[in-house]
Amino acid sequence: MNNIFKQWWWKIVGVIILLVVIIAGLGIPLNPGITDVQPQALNIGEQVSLQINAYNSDFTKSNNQITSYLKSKSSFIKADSVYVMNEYSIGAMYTIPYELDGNSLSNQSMDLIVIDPYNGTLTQRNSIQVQNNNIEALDMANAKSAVKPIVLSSKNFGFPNREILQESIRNLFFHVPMWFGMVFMLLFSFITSILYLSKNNLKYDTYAASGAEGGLLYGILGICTGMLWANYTWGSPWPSDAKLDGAAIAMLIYIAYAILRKSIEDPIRKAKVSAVYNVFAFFIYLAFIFVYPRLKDSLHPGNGGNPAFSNTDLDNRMRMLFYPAVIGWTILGFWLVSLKIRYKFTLLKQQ
Amino acid sequence: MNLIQNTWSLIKKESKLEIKNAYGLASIVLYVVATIVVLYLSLASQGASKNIEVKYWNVLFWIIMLFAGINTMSKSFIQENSSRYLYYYSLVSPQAVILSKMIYNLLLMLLISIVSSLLFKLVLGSPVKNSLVYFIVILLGATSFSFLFTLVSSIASKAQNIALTAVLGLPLIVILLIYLMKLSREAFFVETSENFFKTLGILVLFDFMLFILSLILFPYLWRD
Repeated sequence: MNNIFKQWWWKIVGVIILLVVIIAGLGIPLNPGITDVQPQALNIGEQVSLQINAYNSDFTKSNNQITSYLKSKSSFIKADSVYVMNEYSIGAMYTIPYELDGNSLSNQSMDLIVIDPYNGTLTQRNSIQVQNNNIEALDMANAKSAVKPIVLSSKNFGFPNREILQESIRNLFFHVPMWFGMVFMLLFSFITSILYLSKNNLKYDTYAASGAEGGLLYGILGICTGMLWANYTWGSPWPSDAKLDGAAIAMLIYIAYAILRKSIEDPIRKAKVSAVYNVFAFFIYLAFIFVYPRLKDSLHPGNGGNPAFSNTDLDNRMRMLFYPAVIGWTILGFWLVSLKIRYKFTLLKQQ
Repeated sequence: MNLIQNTWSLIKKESKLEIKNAYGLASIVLYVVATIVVLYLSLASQGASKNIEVKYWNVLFWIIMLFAGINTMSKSFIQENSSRYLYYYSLVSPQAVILSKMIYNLLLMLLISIVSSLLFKLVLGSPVKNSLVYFIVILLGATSFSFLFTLVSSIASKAQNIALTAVLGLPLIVILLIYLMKLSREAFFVETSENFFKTLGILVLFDFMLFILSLILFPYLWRD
């Protein structure tokens, strides 16, 4: 195992992957998305002009082929006309009927859709609130739904522009791989602890201690990046969440492991005792992360009805960069662990 | 067969030691009594000692159980000196030692749980409506605590620092504690809910895992 640690090819592979991930992950622009709409409240029976502002868009390049729709349940209202104001904003004229496909529109919220061949499809959920101040306007009493629009994708290569997430979606390449890296390093520490107990070779104890330290570092980085992300998207750096609790417990366990190691002088006894604790703790921690999220709902994707890694959630452009990011960060973690191991061996030789 | 006989004689030895210097047992019971009196007086000073909400009763009870357990079991491997352990090493298998310690700690923990349940009933009232379920939960709680903290305290005793028992054990006990609180809520209603047997099964599986892990890992610790 020490031979692999001294070889350099996998470190270069890791660095190249990470450079690509960092440059592409931070450099690729976000797809266009709607930021706000004026006015946000409409009256039934009214003809109204909406000003729609977008992010990262260029409407001047769409050759006046823009169409806009309002969606309520599964019915659509098509805009009467759409005009381009500048790169980032358009105006759309709408006539709001009293009923759409037999459903009253009063006090309904509607989703806004803008489709054009250059920028692709821009949507914003519940962006328009329909009010009921204009009872007399009965000439447009009932309207039929427009034909369901065809979804076009953007001409430019970009990451999906999701509501709430927006630019912070890039954190996927930094926050999530930390947890993968942490689990791999803790697994390494666990396996080498078992190897120590069965082979009684102090080398494995050094491996186990370094693996746990690397896992702890990645865990702390994962918590920091997660807190930043949660502050922007969920409104609080530490919301009540099963995965956060699991992360906190993992940190406590491995800090306790580090303290246990520091408190014993004799290297053989230290190795034996800490290996026993590592094996014992890892089993309980595994049980914890498998069982605990079933007790409690989580805000994270993949829990409590939230999607994770499904087609709607993580699109192929992000997937192309996400898996390399996991591999790259894991390699970087093991590189750190190997440096730690070699440093400890050097210290042992000096003694 | 030999293992069971050895375990049994070690448990007898353990209890004889405890009775011989009775202050050990007395100090454990006094610790729980004093903690509950402190809790009661603190609650009374806030005007909250009567009709305390059931969920807070539950949490307070299990937190006190937890710390009483840590306090009791952190001492399990330092009462006798290491030369005595060398003598046991020549006589019995390490499994017999850890087994006897676990069973003895279970009995101690059961005693503590019963004493503190009675005291809680006396000073704070008791919301328990289903005594059978409550007894099962207390038994499971004592099992979980003793199975986990016996190995952890043997680890801490090897580090010659019994204060480590709490640091090493607390992150590990969290999941068991949450399940125990969840299960003991069932005892506050006459009818058990449909999740009762599921939660019970998970806890029993957890305890079984701790039992097996202790039996496998303790022999490595013991040989010095």
